[in-house]
Amino acid sequence: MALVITPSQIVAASFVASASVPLFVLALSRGPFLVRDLRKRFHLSSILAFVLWAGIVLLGDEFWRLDAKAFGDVLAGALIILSAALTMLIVLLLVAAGVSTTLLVSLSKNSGPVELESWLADYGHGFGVEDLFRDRLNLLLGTRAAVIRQSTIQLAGRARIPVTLLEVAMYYFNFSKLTGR
Amino acid sequence: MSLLVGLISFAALAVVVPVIARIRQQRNAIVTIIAAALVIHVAGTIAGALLVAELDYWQSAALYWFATVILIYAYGTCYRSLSVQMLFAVSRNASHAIDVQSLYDIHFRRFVQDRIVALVEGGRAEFREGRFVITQAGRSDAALILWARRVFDLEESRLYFAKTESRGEA
Repeated sequence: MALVITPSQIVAASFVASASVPLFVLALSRGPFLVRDLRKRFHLSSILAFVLWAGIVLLGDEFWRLDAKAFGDVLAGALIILSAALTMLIVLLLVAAGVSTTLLVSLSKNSGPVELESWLADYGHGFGVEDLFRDRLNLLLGTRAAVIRQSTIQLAGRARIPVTLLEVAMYYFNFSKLTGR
Repeated sequence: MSLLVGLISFAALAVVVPVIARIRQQRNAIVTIIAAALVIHVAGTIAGALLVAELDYWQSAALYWFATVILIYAYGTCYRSLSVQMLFAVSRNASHAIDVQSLYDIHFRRFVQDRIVALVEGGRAEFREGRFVITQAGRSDAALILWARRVFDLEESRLYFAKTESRGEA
């Protein structure tokens, strides 16, 4: 059995860069470096993490060997940082824009029991589910998967293949029956 | 070869996931998928170390976990995304079209109510005498979410396209 478990300099640098992703997000969330737009904040944090990694890697000697091991480690390092960034994105989206999380926060602001309609109206601290609907509709229209004509939403012709792929994914994850097919 | 070991391990996970999704009774199988991913990772690493002359663990693990994170992201999107559910509501109509108000009244409100059912089933809220009340577990989770929103300054990011006029209307 030959298992190399000690990380190379390139891979170790990717751990540092991965840990820096939430720290960069945090640093850009307040103070003089504040970036208000969450999307831009996340993109910038990811870019900064990659810059940090590239800086460490280029200053070291492993990369300059330019052999198969170095290239394999560069690929592995990049995948490690991308995994960390994607995990951070999942957490940020869940906390910032998750429907269940926002519903829970809205409910927690009530001291006593609430009726369904009050709860839905209070979604997102008073945004309400109708605003949520418009928001998600904008998101859908923004992908150009659907277009709106007068008051009707029409599936865009270009969306047929993505929809088919999504149907396959729904079948793969066994969600087809939950969404009515 | 190390990258190939990671790829083969992921292929094994990709075969196992639909089986897990069909065996699990609960709607959300994410915890089981992560557990399966860990088991396959350990098994794949041991098998790789036995079969390959020299297995670089981090190269193998990086590829495997990157693909696994994408798989989990895809699972979450299929399970939770309101936009995807809305897209299906449109595409599954015979005419591939739906009135905006119908989409909201018939489909969207049901999608949101499904989330409420999930919160109740998950022990975060209770339904008592026609009204909803938060549980202690729900209150703890809400406090954690609020803390994270404060730390990352996410107070104004509840919506993807939060607009000033929307807040004004509310």
